[in-house]
Amino acid sequence: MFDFLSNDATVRVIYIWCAALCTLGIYSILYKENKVYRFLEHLFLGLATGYTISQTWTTILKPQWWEPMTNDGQWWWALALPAGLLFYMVFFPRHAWMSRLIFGFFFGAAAGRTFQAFAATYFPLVKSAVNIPLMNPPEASMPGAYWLTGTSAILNNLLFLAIVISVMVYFFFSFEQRHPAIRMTSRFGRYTLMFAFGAIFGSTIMARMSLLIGRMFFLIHDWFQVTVLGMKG
Amino acid sequence: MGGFFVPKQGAELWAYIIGAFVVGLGILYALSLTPKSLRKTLIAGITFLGGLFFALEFFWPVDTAGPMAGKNFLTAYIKPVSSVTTILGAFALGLGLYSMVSIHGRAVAKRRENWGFSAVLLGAILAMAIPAIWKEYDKSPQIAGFYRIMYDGGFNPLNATMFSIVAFYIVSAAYRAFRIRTVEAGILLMSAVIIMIGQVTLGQLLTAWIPNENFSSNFRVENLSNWILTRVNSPAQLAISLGIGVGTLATALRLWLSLERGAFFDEEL
Repeated sequence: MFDFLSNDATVRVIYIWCAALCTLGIYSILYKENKVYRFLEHLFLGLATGYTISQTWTTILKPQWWEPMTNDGQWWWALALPAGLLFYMVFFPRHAWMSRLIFGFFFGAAAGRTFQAFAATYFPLVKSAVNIPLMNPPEASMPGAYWLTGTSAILNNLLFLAIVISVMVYFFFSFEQRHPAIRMTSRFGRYTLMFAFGAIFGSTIMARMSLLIGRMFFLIHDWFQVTVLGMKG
Repeated sequence: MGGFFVPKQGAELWAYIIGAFVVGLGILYALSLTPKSLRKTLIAGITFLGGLFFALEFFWPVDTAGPMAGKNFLTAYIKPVSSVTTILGAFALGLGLYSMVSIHGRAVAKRRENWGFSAVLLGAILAMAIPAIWKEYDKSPQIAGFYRIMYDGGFNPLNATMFSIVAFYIVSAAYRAFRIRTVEAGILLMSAVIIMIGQVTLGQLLTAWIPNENFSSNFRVENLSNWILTRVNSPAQLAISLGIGVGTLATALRLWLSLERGAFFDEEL
């Protein structure tokens, strides 16, 4: 009955039609709220949940817990199940407090991991911020360098340092920023932050636009030209 | 002790697994008998223990030379301990799943308004989860084909399309709400426009007539865009990250030592 599912070409046609209908259905919200969009919204939520369940089993629980326990004989992993059950104590009012044991464990572990992350992530960040050449920059001797390259590299590095310091000053709330020097530094920090937020905003729009272009390309090329009109891909 | 914690095989393995599970349940039962006055102390103790390994590994002095240079005796155990927390965290998935299934299951059972959408959601969970897990054990082409229809025909395009419509919303919201009333707003808009123009071919054509060499190349829009990203955006984000890092460290310390206040820590148990 389901033999057609073993034919790659048939499966491809089916999933391309499904994907095209899903894409057009989701874009229908741009006109107005409608039942097709609501249907696809729930379908997406369900598929995403199902996918998360499958990924949790296939990438975490199966390889890291079930297989070491049942295939490699590491029986002690069985103790993880009662520990995991502590999460579900939240559904029993009398014993709901016990769920806090496992949540507390995770708070502690997350806090502990933060120490590790601080060493692994933030120390190199500090190093990268201060470890920039302010004399004889390597850019000056690179191919294509001209008389201003070295100077601009030094100015850029100074600017880099100035921005790091001024933004940190802007976020320093431990005392009132009354001194004119601090106020000016803080204001410069605010302006550079606006540059950064603008860059983030622009990059976010462009990232979404590339997704939009991807969907349009799929509809026009993969679906309409190749699948509907039968043109060669 | 060494013989106890060694891998077992066959019937002995299953006996140990069931035994460990029963012992675990026994520990849960013993914990449930904890007097009210000791519960907070117990939770604080387990919170402390949860972070103790990572904290000790962080603070313990490391070897300066030899094969263990830059490491201490605890470093080797980071992976297994992380694995334990990952596995325990995975068990929490059921909490969200229960919540979702109970809400939509009730909607279907009681034929509430729009219950059909809830039925679609529940059906979609099964339609995705079952073949995705099944294909791990059964390599038949029918299962693979059905999974591909669900993934490439449903989840993947829906995911990409859902996120792509945000492009319309961002642009629409910016057009309605954004007004250049301050210097900061002007800088933000200018920066965003340069970044966007600098990333598309049509935008780059605007300044394509400027020679891409020597000093003049700095005024080409793609180079301006790159300069903003690497010379202004990067240090600003670096400073924000450093601030976040210090703040996270302080919060982590408060959490680890159960000094944090709020419903979780203050509520009577």
